[in-house]
Amino acid sequence: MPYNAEISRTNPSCFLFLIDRSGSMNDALGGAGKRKADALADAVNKLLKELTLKCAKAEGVRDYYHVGVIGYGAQVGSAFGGAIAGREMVPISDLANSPARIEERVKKVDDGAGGILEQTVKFPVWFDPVGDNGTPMNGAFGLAERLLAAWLAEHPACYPPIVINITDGESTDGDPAEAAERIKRMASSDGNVLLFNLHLSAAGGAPVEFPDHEGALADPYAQQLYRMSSPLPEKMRAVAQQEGFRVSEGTRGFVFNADLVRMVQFLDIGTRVGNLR
Amino acid sequence: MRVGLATFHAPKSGNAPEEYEDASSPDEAPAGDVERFRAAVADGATESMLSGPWARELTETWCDVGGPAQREDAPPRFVRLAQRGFAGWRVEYLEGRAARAKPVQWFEEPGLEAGAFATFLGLDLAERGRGEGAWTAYAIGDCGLFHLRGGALARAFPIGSSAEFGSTPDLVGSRDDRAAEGTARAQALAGTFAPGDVFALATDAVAAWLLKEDEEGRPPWATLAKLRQGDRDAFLAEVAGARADGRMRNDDVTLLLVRVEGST
Repeated sequence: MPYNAEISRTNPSCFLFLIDRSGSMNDALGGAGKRKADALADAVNKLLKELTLKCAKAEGVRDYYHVGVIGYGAQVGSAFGGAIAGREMVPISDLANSPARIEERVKKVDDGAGGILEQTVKFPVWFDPVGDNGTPMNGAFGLAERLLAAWLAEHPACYPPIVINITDGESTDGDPAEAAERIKRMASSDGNVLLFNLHLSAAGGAPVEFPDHEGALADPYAQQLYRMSSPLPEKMRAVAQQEGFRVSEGTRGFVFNADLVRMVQFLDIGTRVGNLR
Repeated sequence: MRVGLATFHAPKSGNAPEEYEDASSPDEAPAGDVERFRAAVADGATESMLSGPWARELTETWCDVGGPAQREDAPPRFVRLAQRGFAGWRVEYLEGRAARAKPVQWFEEPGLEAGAFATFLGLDLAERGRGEGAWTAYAIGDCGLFHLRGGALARAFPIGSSAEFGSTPDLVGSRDDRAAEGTARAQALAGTFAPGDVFALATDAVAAWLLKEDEEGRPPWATLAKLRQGDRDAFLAEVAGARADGRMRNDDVTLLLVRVEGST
């Protein structure tokens, strides 16, 4: 059965985030409120924090995962800041030890007695929002291919790598469809690389989440991103179902016109991988 | 009654020995005759911080004070005492970290704050005379108790089939406000014992394996009942083989055998 490998320090898995950093990311998400770039940076930084905490034990973080965050806009390359700036793929212990900075943010929580408490929560930041220039998605996929090839050569039995591409618009350096197909054909002995796509809403409108057929999508660009997305493995489908999504065997890892809440949910489902041992 | 004891431990394959997070108590059989004997095993949750020391606190406290004969609404006394003991240990641990110039890092804070979690199984034997008596057991989560008589399985508690083992067992937490969640679903059982009976207490990987072997027509009970401490190497070799075949999940292994040997 594929997508079943045990994830361990001797057989780690990897996540690769491809982050659109084009000029339009400075626009508001869904046409109002937070900038897309800010919403994206917050969502992914938060996810990296959750992944780190999952691997944390007393006095250290276990390298169950390696992580890469590749930005594409003015350039294509690592989006990490701080001590890991420039590194394309890092073990999660390096991530844990090298946030660019740790912010203190105030979180409002239910005090259990009808009131609201303000809690200060540490929010590590690994990369900052950027919105500049065009959308070299093809270039980003090309870099992803090279990183995946190197990874798979070193970890041939890994739980298959997961690539999550987050974009708000169309590629400006050529059609990424072929590159996407090549990525989806790459595989470990446990299954093919998974490529998920998250499209950020430009102007509001109903999101389409985890569709299982192209006809569910009106927009030809949405259809293209759908075709570029992998079906969810069985266990991930179960997670999506638990989260309230309607899924079928053909359900793909794709959301069109996502807002912030859906973005966070999607990232959580897409990275809920296996039981760490 | 005289009581014989054998215990077997192995960390998950791929982990270092100090990363073992199960616990079992006591470490040695009592010398001479006793009228009362308690034993326990616990499995610290991988996802929580400092779960090995919490598991240890639970098993040791059970052996000291015992527990309820049936499920109660409030967390039992031994859990409350274990929480207090663990809180004290934790203070020393954190002071030790500061003294070693290894301060708590941001990624440890949420885990330390949430506390440690474990599954638990305790056994209590009360002799009525001539090596016979009554036993009670108390379980939170998916550790397994196997009551063996004449080389056969008399009772498996609380789980009776390998299919029932999942990855989200009930857990008991080390923080005051987290104990009730696990203990609310605790199970208790009582029975009688006679000389020659053997009780096996095991954490989930071993418990599931024993039941699976039985289900697949290779009942392990006669061999299990005859295991002695000197058979450690053979047992660990058996575990390695079962892990390699996929018959046993790769996880910390803990097995504690209690033998009632009648009276002198």
